[in-house]
Amino acid sequence: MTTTAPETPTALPAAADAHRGILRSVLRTPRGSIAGGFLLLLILATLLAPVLAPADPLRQNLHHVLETPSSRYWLGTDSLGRDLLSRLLYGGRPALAGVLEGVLAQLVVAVPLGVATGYLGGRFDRFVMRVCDIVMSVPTIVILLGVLTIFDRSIAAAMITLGVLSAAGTLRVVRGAAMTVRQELYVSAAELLGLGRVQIIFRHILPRCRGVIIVQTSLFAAVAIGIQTGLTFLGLGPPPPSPTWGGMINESAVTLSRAPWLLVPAGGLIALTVLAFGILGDVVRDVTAQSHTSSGGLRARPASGRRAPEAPVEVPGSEAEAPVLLRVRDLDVSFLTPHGEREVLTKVGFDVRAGRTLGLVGESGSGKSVTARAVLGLLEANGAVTGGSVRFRGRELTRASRKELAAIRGTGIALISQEPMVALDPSFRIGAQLGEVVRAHTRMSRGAARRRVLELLEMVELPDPEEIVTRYPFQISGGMAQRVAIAAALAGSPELLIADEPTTALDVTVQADILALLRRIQADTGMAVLIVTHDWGVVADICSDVAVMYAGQVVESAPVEDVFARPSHPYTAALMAAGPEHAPRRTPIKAVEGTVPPPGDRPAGCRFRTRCPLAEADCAEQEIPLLPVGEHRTSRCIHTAHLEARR
Amino acid sequence: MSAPVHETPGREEAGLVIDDLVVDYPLGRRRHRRAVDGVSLRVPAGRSVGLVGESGSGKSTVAKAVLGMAPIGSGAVTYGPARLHEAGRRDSRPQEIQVVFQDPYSSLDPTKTIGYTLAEPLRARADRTGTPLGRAECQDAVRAILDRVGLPPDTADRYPAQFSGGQRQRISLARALIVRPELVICDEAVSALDLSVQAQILNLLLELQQDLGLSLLFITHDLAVVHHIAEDLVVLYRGRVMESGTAADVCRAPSHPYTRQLVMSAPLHSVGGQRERRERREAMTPPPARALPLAEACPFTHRCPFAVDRCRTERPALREAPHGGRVACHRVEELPDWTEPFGPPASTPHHENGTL
Amino acid sequence: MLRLIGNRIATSIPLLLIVTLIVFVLQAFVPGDAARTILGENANPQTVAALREQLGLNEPLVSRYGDWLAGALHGDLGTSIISGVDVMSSLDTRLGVTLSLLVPSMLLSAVAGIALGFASAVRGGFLGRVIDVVSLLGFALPSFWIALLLVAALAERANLLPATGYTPFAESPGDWLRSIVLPVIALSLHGITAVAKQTRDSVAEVLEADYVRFLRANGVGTTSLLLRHVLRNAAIPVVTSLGLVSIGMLSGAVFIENVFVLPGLGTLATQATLDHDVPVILGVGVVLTLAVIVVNLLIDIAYGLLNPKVRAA
Repeated sequence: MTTTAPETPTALPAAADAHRGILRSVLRTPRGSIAGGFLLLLILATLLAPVLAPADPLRQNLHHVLETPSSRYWLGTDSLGRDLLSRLLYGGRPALAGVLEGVLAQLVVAVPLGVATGYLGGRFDRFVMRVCDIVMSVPTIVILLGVLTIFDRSIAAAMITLGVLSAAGTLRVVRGAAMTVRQELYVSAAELLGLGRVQIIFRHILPRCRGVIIVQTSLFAAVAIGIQTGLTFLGLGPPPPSPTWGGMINESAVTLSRAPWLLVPAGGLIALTVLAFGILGDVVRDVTAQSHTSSGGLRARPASGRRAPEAPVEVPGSEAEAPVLLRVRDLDVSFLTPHGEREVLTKVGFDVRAGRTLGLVGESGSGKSVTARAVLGLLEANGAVTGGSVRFRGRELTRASRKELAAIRGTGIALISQEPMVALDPSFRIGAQLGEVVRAHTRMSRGAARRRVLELLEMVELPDPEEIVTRYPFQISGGMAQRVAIAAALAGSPELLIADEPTTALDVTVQADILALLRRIQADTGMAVLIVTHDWGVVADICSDVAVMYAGQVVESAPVEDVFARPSHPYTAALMAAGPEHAPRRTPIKAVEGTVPPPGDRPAGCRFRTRCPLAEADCAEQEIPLLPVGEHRTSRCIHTAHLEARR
Repeated sequence: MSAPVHETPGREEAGLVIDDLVVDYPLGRRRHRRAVDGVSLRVPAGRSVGLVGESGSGKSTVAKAVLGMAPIGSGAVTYGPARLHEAGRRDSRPQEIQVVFQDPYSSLDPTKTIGYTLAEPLRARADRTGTPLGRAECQDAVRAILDRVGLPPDTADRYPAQFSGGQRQRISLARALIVRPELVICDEAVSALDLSVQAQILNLLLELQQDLGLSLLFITHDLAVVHHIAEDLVVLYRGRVMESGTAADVCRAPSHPYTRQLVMSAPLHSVGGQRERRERREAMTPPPARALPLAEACPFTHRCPFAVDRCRTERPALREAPHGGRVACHRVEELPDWTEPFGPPASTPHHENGTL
Repeated sequence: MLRLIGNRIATSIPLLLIVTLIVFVLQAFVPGDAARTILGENANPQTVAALREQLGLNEPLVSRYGDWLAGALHGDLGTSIISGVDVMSSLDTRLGVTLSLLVPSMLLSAVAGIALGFASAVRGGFLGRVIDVVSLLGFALPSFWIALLLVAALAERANLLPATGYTPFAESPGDWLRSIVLPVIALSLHGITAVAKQTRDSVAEVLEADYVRFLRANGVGTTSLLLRHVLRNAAIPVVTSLGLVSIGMLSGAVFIENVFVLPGLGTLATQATLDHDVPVILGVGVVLTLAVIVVNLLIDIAYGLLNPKVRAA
């Protein structure tokens, strides 16, 4: 069903310009340009060996044996007094030729078959995959030795064989890429146009597989160099005295103790070549594919240049009300992205009172989920709190040690998240996971923990808890998984539950059940809830207070009835009016133009002013502070009077 | 079984007609899952029909069957004279039917410019009919359609990565419209969008439908959206039609217990209104789920507060409901009358305040 | 689970057939065939023809393969055409040497690779960068070159360990150990770095999984998270890479045995290649293919234990 787009800035669709010339993108990175430059140079040097080589690679000079580098012999000489540089240059020719033969053989087999099996699927695909399984299990070296036995030391034959055998692995990767592309809706769209399979493969499938093909090819080239030099090292290549890189290392083995330097030139060049191919593959993968992790592999955190919190804006309200459980003030959060540091949250502030439910409302890009994670100190590896304060029952959490945070998690503040199916560890049974959470809070015997787990499952109204505990997460439905997640969150009897879009991924009837469950639990335990949502219906159903977020700021805070009755920020009003419920059937909805600006593209001054119908010149002049509007409410708008007038 | 959803005199044969459609997906050897189980519906020319259901209801499978992307087990799908259920998987489809999918990020080829993507349907048609397609003609058509969906002409030279979800959905719509279709199937076309962007796209769809005389088959899980945009509504549950009728009737005075539960589960955007709706829902919430019903039963019996033995042994046919529309429930005459507030509360006056 | 293992064993039989058949078919193209190799370039055609007849080289390929296969099923892999030694018995004497090299190398790659990769993913920082550099070197430097370097530095310069040669375990466990230390290090380095890199990547991925965040948020301690949940869920791709590394080591062993002059299957195969000694190549092929089958079987069992979907089925 629906899920909102991820909000972290790093999760923006990467590879934005990857399709426009992979080569150009690769060469623009420092690593890519160095590796590419080196390989180009190497190829040119070996091609031009007859011109460049200072000496005949075969000419012996027994007066100058085993010399170290000198102005005459740049890289020294071997045991027969042959010039090492010249031998390296000439030896590069069979090496690179071998790589080329292997690569071509591999591409010829892997690319057409991979794309075809991935796109067409079916029986043909199953057959090819079976063959691949078998080929991948073949001990390559045996076949290579067999080929060399029969084709009498033909490195070319061996490398072509290597290419064909390795094609099985590449074929699988290409097939995987093609299968992913096949699932894309634009391929369905092309099929519906009546385009032929061949047209679709060439127009839509192959271009998307280019990246993985190049990656696989570079990695294979790195392996092929290793094998080519290995075979020549064993003396299975061109017979001496013709120069080969592996042969040179073999020759140096004989005089190893007298002249260890001999190991260096050939070994070093092989290593550099392998490295260059490997790095090239890595760079292509980086520029064409999204990273596996949401932090994009960026571990460093943004500098935490803590700003002194401004004089906090106290939300008016009598302290006779329920005590404030969680107080967030001036919270700044930044993420380190490939495009530099991005401030995602700016001076976010709100209060959650004991026993009440605060709704954090906003569209994607508003920063509502980041706020929820920042409160618990669970930002991705590339994000950090750079300023402000989060106080839970008076204790500052932003500067709390790991240990202090761990003590609060689960017992003070617990969390349930948007995708219940991925919130549970797929490798453990429900009972084992819940038992672990239970025992993390209180030391108890396994038997006692088991009883507590069953009790928790009863609490979340799951039928037949005895049976549920034996299941794996993939064996239960989304609604059940969310109940299990709630049970886990309740294990430590928390005072505050943070619910990050807890029903967004669920069907509407299941959503209603989960919201009813949350309300009942709240009535029984007095737990406070901070719920992140984009759905005004959920807000109306369960919240007592609302904080509306836009582009990384809270723009309005108010009790829930007031927000629905009289929104005090133009964005709140606009977002509410955008619901189709608020327009007569089949008439235009009052839709605000544009979208939420991403971090790094936010206007100065009021962040909503570019889309705001009430915007005036003074909206751009300064950062708009949160201003009190009557009792219990604040709004980040200096023209709330106009809003009032237009109502 | 093949009664029309809504009678439009004189136009019965025009438009899309789905009659007793069955779709089975294979699950390994000799087993299969019935995704669509005897669905009949009709999208007359110029009309917008909503198909609503939860996950697993088979609503998207119906669209796929129409588009030739799902195996039709039995039943008929016709569009005017075209008998779509007899066409093979690789046969070309009538270009009068176009589709907009849910995911704006997967709907456009990231390696092609928008101009290429939009021109592709024209080129495909030119290839098929053998009529030459001029470069200028093609460019003009692209520019015109971009303008129609509210995008600037330089969009054609850019790549999908440079556009937001809402803009991509406009582009997908443009691709569907460039061949001047009569029927556009919107498969959860606004579900992945933020509220304010969803409103923009819904407005555009309504405008296009009215200006171009399009028919729409609007597939969604969101009652509020479908209530807003559809004239007729078909409610699916586990592959079967539970209820059909005009959208206003089905949403405001649902007959089937399932539809009632669906309507009551969608929270209202009003604190007081939602409190009332919630209380009514809780009053009729059935006992916790029992085992799933058998194939020859009403698929909703396990969650139905009104279920009797007959519901568990006999499959209810879709028949005239007492208050208009059609409903598949044995006990519909015995159910208490029931209406729900839907859409803008009558008390709220509607200002025409420009864009806000 | 049992079905999975049965399935794997069933596909192993065609694998054995295919490997041997490939070598057999290639033999048909032999330019310098065995008879000529044995008799030398200048032998007169009659003698060559006679030897061909004697070796059965004039029979059709299929019947030769059938004969070989029938023999193989009875434990008879023929005799070396060069030395006349029974292939089975020479494999028998050499297998122990190769296993002494392979088994410790596989274990070392697994243990050291997983430990290093896990540490670098969890700790990051300096350790991560050190592992990066070592990984690059392990990836880039050919194993035979590293072997030579080890010989130069530790055996010939420092004289700590024997440079070449092999002592059977039964003869002297201490000397056996000393004789395999350097070969095992040289052979494992590539495997350690490959396993470490894969471990690091998949641990880093699991560390950002929703369930890790969820369990952490609800109070599960770091130690339990890392040792139970992260390690367990990161394991499947690591096991895959272990399988690939192990199969790759069979090739690596050929090079390493040559550097250290170990009397194993690798040196046997190399010499056979230079001699066009097809029966020996076939014999080594059979043994190495069986080794691959065993590795794949172990990997499958590991998958089964790690993946609850397989276990539950």
